[in-house]
Amino acid sequence: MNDESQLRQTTPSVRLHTTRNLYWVRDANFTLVIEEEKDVTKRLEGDAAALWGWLSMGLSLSQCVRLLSAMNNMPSAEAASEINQHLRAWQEAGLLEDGSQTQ
Amino acid sequence: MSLPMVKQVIDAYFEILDEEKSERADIQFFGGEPFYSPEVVYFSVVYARRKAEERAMDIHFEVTTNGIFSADVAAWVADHFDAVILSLDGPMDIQESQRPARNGKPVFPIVYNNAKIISSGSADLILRSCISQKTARRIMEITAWIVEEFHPKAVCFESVHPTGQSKKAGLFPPGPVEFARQFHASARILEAHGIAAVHSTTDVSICRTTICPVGRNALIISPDGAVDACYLPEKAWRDAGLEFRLGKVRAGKFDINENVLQGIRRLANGDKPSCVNCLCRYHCAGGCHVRQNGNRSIGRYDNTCMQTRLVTITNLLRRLNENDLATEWLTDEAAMARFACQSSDHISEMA
Ligand code: SF4
Ligand code: SF4
Repeated sequence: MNDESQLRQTTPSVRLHTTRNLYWVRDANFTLVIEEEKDVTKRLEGDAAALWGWLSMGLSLSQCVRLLSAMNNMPSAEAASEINQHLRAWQEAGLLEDGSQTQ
Repeated sequence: MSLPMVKQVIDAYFEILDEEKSERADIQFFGGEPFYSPEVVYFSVVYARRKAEERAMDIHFEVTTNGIFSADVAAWVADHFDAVILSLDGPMDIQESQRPARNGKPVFPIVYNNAKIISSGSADLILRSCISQKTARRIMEITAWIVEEFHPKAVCFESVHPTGQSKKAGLFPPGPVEFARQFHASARILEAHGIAAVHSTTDVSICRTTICPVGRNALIISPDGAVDACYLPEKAWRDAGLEFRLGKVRAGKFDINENVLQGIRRLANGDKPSCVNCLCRYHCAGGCHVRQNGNRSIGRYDNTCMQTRLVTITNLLRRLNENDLATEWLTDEAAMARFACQSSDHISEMA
């Protein structure tokens, strides 16, 4: 879920992926993400739900940046920063983990 | 289509819906293949749904696709679309011979897998099977396979449309009699399983004056922002002497040529002269405005007409619960031929 091209990173790349016990259910207007083992449930709406959907189809970060920036009429940098915030929040909630720490 | 163009088109569409105080939006994706530009689809669905939500409006998404995409995309499609029209001609040997991939690699496993995923989602799956001379005799086998594997909402059987390419590939339309027999037998099985059997020109459940978006105020937008009334490329309808260019997307609005619009409405609302004596005229409604030759003299039918006429009769008999009568009639080739060629269906003019 990382792509250096859009983010002007000052820190090394991390490869985030979903945890082993993660499921999600999509409704038209929201996505419910469930981490069974950690007993965490998150309801995603708006940009977060759209982003989850795009990433789950394998879109690169730069594609997501392009889509989000077009959707909200925002500069790419702003879209990239919003995406990063979502990714961080999901990581903190235990929905995503750093690929380098798992086998 | 660029994302800014997609946005302009959706904004312009919602502006019309607002003006009309409409409570429902309808967006369809077709091609070519819509998933050759996946970003356009992903973006449009999210953006349009957001606009509909702001208005508490219903929105309906439909896509016509060859189903060649990843399983993740198939799952997303199953969750985000209301209807998916998937081209699947039949089991592996049929699909691979009628729709070979350009790179020669088998695509059937991908399409099959995706059809399974979509059939288990919330979208209505409509399978579209293109029938050729070679596969007409296998419609029953195709039907049984589809019922068993996918249990879709509907199955649409359409004859191969003869083009230079299809002829080169050895694909020819089935004979009208064979098609009518097989379609009827298949429809009985499908209907017994609660699956609709569809053949575009023979829907006897409705009366209409056009079978397609032409004349129904649909706006078909090309990647360059051209607004047309018909799915086919410009050259096809221009070669048929038709003007289907409604206008262009300009500065976030549809710039529609009122004269062309009125001409299209007239074309789609009037009886076609060659169809006035045909009992199918309010179901088939003259068929495709581009491909079906409307200059035939009255009472002269080509193979497409004959197929439509025969299938329409059996559809009517099934609606009347006269299944056995339909089956019996379909064994009487002379009666079928007589009806298929009958120059007028007006009772007063029948011999
Ligand atoms: S004459 Fe042919 S095109 Fe016209 S309504 Fe009948 S079947 Fe359709
Ligand atoms: S005119 Fe023919 S090709 Fe064009 S939309 Fe109608 S049925 Fe389709």
